[in-house]
Amino acid sequence: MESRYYEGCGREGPIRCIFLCEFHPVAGPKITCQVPNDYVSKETFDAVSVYIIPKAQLQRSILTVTVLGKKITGFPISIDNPKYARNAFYFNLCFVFDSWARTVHFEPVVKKLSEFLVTLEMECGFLSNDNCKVNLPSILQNILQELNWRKMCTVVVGNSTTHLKVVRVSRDPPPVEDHHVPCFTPAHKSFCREQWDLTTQQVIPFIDGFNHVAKIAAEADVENNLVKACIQNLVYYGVVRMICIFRYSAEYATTPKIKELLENEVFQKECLKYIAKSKTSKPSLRDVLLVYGGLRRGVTVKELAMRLQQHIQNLDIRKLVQFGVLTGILRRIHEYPVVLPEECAASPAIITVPPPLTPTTPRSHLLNHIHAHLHPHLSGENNSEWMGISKGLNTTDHGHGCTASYRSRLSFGRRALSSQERSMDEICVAVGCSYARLSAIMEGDPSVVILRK
Amino acid sequence: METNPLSIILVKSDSKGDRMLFRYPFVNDTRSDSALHSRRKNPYALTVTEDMLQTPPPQTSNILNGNLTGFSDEVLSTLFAVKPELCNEKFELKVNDVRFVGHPTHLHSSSCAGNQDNPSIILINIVFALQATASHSIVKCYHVLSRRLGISLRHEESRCGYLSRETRTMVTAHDEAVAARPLDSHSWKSVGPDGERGATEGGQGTLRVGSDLLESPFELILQRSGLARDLKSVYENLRSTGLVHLQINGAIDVSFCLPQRVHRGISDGGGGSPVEPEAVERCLRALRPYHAIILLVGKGELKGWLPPRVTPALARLLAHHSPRKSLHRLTIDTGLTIAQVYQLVGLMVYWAKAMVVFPLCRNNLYAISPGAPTKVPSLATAFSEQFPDHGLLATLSNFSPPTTLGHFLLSPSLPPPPRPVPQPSAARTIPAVVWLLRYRFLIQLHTYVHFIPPRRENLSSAEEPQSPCVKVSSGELRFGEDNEELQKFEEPGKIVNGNSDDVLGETKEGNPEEKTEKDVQEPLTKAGLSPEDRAAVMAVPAASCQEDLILFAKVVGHFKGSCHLEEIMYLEKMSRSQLLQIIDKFRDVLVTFEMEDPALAMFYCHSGD
Repeated sequence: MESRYYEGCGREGPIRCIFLCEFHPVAGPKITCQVPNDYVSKETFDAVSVYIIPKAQLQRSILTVTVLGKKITGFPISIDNPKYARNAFYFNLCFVFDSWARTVHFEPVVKKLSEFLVTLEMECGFLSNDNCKVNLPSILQNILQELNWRKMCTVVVGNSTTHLKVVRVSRDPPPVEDHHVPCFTPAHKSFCREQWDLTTQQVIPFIDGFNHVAKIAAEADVENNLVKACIQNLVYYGVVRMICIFRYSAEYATTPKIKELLENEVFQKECLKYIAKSKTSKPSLRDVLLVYGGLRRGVTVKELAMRLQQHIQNLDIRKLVQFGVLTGILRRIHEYPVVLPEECAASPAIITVPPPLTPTTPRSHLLNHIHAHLHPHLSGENNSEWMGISKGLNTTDHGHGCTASYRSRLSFGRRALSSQERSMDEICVAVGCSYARLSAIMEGDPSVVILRK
Repeated sequence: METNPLSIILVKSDSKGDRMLFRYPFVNDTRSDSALHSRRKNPYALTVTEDMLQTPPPQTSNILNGNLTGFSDEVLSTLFAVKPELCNEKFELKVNDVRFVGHPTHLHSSSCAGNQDNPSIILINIVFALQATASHSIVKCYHVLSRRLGISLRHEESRCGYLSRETRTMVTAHDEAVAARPLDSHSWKSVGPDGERGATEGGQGTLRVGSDLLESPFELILQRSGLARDLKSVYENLRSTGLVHLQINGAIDVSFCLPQRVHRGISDGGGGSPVEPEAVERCLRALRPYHAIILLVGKGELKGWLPPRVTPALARLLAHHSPRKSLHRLTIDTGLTIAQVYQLVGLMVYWAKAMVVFPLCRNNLYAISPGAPTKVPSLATAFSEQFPDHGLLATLSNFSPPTTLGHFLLSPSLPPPPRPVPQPSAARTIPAVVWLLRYRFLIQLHTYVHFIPPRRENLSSAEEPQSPCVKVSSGELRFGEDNEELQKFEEPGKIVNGNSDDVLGETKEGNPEEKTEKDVQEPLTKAGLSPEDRAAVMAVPAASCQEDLILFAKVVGHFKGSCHLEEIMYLEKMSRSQLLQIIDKFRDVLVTFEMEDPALAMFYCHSGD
């Protein structure tokens, strides 16, 4: 066995063997059919037979036992019927793997195949009748080969048919938030648009790697939660990855993964191709690395772009950041506004804190109120839910007309701050105001500090 | 959490057969199978007669509220009293969403005590039930623990028959509990999985274990048996801290640490992803004499931790250690060898007693760590208690944007500028920074340097006067630093706009010095640079100074983006200012990155994305 195959390596392995085990009324558990022959020796089988034909309590559970370098997965079945010698027929169809292999994705297949055999047995006594069983080795052989080669298989026995398919089990995708930005991965080319459901088809044209979810929902005219569900589904299939909103005022930092870019030439080529402004003139690697090296905490993209003006002529800095975040060589530095508890408690004078320096227009008045309500102990508003993205804030200023949506927006902002875990992006999207405006409010407030991490 | 055990089970097998002696926790299994079956998901669903004739729907989950469920004692004992072929090897069994792991231990047949009334035990198996999703490394660690317990029990059995004694106590307790049971519930053993009996008893469910806590055999066993109490404490410690310290029969020490659990929860109360033991190993492999340690626990707590043999060395190390002292310095102060210090540090890191940092000095650049637990109010209180008049968040906000330690100690005021808060120096001192580092609020940023000269295709062979071009190149290739002296190059850089790359390249090929002074390049050749790279280096103005060139040639091998400045300083025995000067002078062919040290990443495992 090669050294890279060790227990816990997380690799998938082929099915080594399929066997059918029955409980013989006299001889006890025994293998009645095995392909390839004698893969599981008599001694091994005797040692594990208690897990193959277990007690009644464990019937119809997926049992996987890993001992003696083998991994055996089965789904023990008993069929109660007075026609059998012990009033019941016990059997288990097991798949055998190497002990290092990851096998969780075979479990549904084992279960489905076992249930197919149950049907056959109930209909025509397929397993208990020795005459019928002569075909079994060739059927199992076929399943073994097809599943290993094509990951799917069609089993036909008499008039019955079943289809088996090994489906890779992925982790549940994390929840999609309003301020996330979906971005296509190269995998999306292997799917054609017609494969997706209608809502997804409506959403997909708006996924460009820069639009955030709430904006996509608005532009595609699809309900927000539906968009999230669609995108989460796309994430599950690896078609899109979620990144953060790109802003020129944002900060990014390189991660140790940058080493891969320094060393791996294929990766470098891929990077240059991705971020080139035009196909004809590719940026030089040195320029790209200069930009990546320049992206660090405390430096915004805008500052960097201005300083490195001459180096970024051939490259699209937005794509460069996008590539960095997608491949993990860059990490977005998020801003988290937090309320200093000691400051808050110390000064009831916050009400009289001078408003931000902008002249008091109805709009800034409104924002002053956001600011005032960011302090959890000052506001008596109940937490009404914020209902959806408000595009209205930028276009309609009704002073502080205390409409329902306005109130709820304020309360959202307040909760956002008091819970201390929402980034500026999230608050911006939720409250529906621009980053510059929000950060101006935050900076004008002595009790709020912004932590960048 | 997937690192937590669901249950711990002790099974023995002897000539009388197999028996489950003890399980913990032994909460009342209130979920009766019959109740489960009769309850339909939808009250309006039709009851199809065919369905009722079928076998009952399979149980797909054996976890209920974080406890193991759906296994009777008999089932467990048959599963874990394995055949002799499987003894003394790892045993792993997955049933639905529960994974059992154990190490069946075969006892020597020459067991001495109690042969007459108590047949000698053939095997014991201490099995841990885990969630099936637990990663393989977790399973492996539990296997190690099971093996350790098994082996020490085997030793105690052959020494003084400890296990036979304990077993007898447990079996007696089981028998007493059965005898004491009221007559009607005597039949609890015969209740099958379909649980008719359980249904008639009015929702009490099948009586499996301990229907009445006082009568539960396990409660009795806990009172009478030391081994059972030990197993209980193993289970509870694994859940709470991940550390196990036991003395089996008061004689054999069993110490175990679940690294996935113990490193978590230092800062975030146990959230976050588990730390893989490989990450710990990686960190220890990257340990260098220039590193320092920060203790994560009180010194008093460390006293009884190691066996007496090691204690003097540890005590000496603890007496002299300081976050500002490098390990190298510690070897001198304590008189230990560096290997001994490494071993002690390795132990302390593995057991989450200490973390590795770069020694605190003025030049250290700190930023808020991505996983900084700002949401944990208890930590904020703890900080304020330790450093009165100082808010955790306010202090922390000094480090955004990143600040050097020297700058932090000097900085005049806390960030909210309008309110001048009196500044006792307490929070401005090193202890506060150590505190922030210990709880993973801060992460140190290092500078990495990568040697990458302007590309060959940009070089052309045309002649150009040298001096203006050099200015151009240094003006336009600067990066990152807000260095004042860079400003003066700005103007010439702007004069030649656009095609400056070509201009730059021309110099290199046409550099008159290059051909006349072949031996000037000697150090570069020795450093293994290709002719193009050499040409590029020679085009840098500082290359005309032979001294600088030699120094550059000395360190250029480290400029691959994998060593940070401190590492290079250590390897080449250079001072920081020397190195910084060289990097600054040759910045036209270098790129710098600022990021955390990946070797110490395990301490910040829950960070990232």
